[in-house]
Amino acid sequence: MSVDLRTTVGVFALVFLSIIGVAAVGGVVLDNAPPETDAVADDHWQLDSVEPETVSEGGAVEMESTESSNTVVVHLGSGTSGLGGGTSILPIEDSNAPAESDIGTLGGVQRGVAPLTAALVENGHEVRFYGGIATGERLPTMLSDADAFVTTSPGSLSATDADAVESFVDAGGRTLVTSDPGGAGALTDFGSPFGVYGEAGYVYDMENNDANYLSVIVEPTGTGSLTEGVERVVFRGAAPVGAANGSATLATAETSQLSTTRGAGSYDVAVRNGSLAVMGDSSFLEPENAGRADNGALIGNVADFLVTGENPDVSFGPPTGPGGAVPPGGAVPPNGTAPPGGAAPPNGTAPPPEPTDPPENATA
Amino acid sequence: MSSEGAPSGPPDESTDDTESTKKGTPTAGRSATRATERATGDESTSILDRIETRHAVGVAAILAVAAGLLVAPGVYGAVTAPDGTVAVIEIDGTIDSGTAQHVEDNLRDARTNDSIEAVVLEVDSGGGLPAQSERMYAAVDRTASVMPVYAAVDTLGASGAYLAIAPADRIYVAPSAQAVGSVGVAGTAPAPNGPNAGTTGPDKAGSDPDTQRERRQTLANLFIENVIEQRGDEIELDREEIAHADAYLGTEAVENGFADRSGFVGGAVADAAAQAGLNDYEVDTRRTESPVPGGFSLLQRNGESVVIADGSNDELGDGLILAVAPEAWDETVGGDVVMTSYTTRLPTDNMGENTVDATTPDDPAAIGSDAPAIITPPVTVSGGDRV
Repeated sequence: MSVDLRTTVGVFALVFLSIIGVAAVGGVVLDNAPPETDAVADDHWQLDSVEPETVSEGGAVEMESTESSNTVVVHLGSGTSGLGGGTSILPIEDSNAPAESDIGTLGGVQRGVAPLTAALVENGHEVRFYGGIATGERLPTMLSDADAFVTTSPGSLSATDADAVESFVDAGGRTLVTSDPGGAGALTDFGSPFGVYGEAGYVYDMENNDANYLSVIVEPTGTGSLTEGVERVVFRGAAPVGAANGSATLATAETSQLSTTRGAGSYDVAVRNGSLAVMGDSSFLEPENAGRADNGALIGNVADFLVTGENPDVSFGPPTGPGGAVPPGGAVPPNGTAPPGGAAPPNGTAPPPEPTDPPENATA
Repeated sequence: MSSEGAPSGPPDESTDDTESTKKGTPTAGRSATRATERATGDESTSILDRIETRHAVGVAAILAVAAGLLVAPGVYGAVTAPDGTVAVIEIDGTIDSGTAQHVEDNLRDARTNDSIEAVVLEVDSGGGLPAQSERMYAAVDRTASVMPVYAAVDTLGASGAYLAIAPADRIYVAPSAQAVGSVGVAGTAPAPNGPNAGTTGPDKAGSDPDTQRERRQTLANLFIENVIEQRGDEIELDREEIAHADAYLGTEAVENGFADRSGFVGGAVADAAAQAGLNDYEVDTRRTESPVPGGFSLLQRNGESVVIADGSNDELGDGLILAVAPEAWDETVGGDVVMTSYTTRLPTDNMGENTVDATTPDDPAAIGSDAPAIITPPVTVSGGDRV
């Protein structure tokens, strides 16, 4: 019996171990682990290969003009709309639940032209903001004492104001008008007396840009006081503009395209006609953009342009004559009130026929 | 021993096993008796000998029949079973973590499960979060290196969803698919931040506009490079045209190489099986387990961590940048949130109607006059009193 037991146990162990052994060996031999997968290619994930090209940074706004104090009136459109100044309509924090410790805000629309106004004031000039027809002082009154005028929103000027600006430009008042994409109609309405118009759409550039197709690189078309020392400027949103005399000062690169036609080519985005300079973008004036490429140099040139030259000889009928005496005796009774729509009879009479001779007439 | 058993044995054997067993027993008994007299150890040997010779065969036959019946179904099954499985994995709706996990898990299973020989991605998504799309991209790429992975697009296979399927070996699209491609990202326009006493650093409330712009473009470039890496040879458009981020119809996509051929899931499954060498296969469909409920806004304000405000809020926070096709914008962030323009600047006289096409130059006007999904106009977010 002892032999049988030993044999039996031995057989059991042998068979058992054989099975386990076969299973183990078989497992090793037959086991197909998950197939080797290829590593995911990641060379193109390196920052170097996907980082967008950007323009240089750090430009400064500098004026060269040594003119004595000039007064520049700046109009930014409605103060509540975030218009023109490029100021974001986004609040820093929820306006319904302001921070407990409010230490300031992003700023109003005026911040959008801060680099320009700062340069002007720094060089001894006066800056006055015009807040629109609803505000206290009227634009004609302000312009009669002004040397230059800036608007980033020609479309928001009332008819009366637009007429006043037209007279101002005619009288030699240096005027800068910036018009963003979407404002073509308003720009044409405002600029047509001077042969300046806006085109619908916007210019974009998929190749040469400052980290976004809308941020086109703009270059001078020739030499001129506005573009002196300027090689490349960044417009965050460029609207094509044109002038009857073809006096473009800035144009986009050949690789740019117009949104409406998709046609590639160089598009004029700034023109100048005498004392009127028009730019199809107001973002270059913003504090965040003033340091990009040569934007600072352009702003400095714009500031110089605004304060350099003769004082415009302009005045407006109503302001000069107290009371209501002037309107009827003004230069142009026949059709004077039509354009303003009767909104402001006292000061609305002069503008329409003025383009040619009003300054003299008005002062006479 | 053989001389004694021979006379009686043979006749009995041929007739009846049972009987012979009975008769055999006395014979064995006699032998055993003699064996016991000689040596006790010979007893068992003699019994076994007698059993083997005649009856073991019968018993073995019975056991063999039983065993055969036991094994036969398995063998039959093995012979008639499919050669393998084609897994159909769904990519549906807004791409978020759940979608990415679903796809990644199932693709991992496909790689480790021996029976799965091919994968078909059933796609109807307009995109979502870029990183999650990228995660699926990597999983698809990895899987495609070991088995055929085909994708079939229904209506939408755009933006993040297109990124996810770009590494597939073949992309099928319904001829009437409405958005294939849309290689780009979208988000709120860059905006500066003012002082915020609640943050510990100037960029805590959001980086400066230039940085925001650059990062957005970096994400777009990653997307574009991924697509070019995977389908650069197929797509006949150059990099710039791809970067326009247009979304193509299915039939256009086949033409320009964003897709390989027109077709649907059924055809993709058959072709994937053929590619994997499966004559006989079964299909294992893996649906999205917990689809996002309809109308649910993926990106919402959640306590202090603002992503993109939902419709109940009037403003957009510093938002995530999304890989979403315009066609899917609505379902991704809710109908009340619309892209603002690049400058967020609006003309006063016709606020809200005018417009500068924003994130993409392509005009999606065909969608409909009031389609909120369009990313174009710089309309403010519900209610314009802020402006």
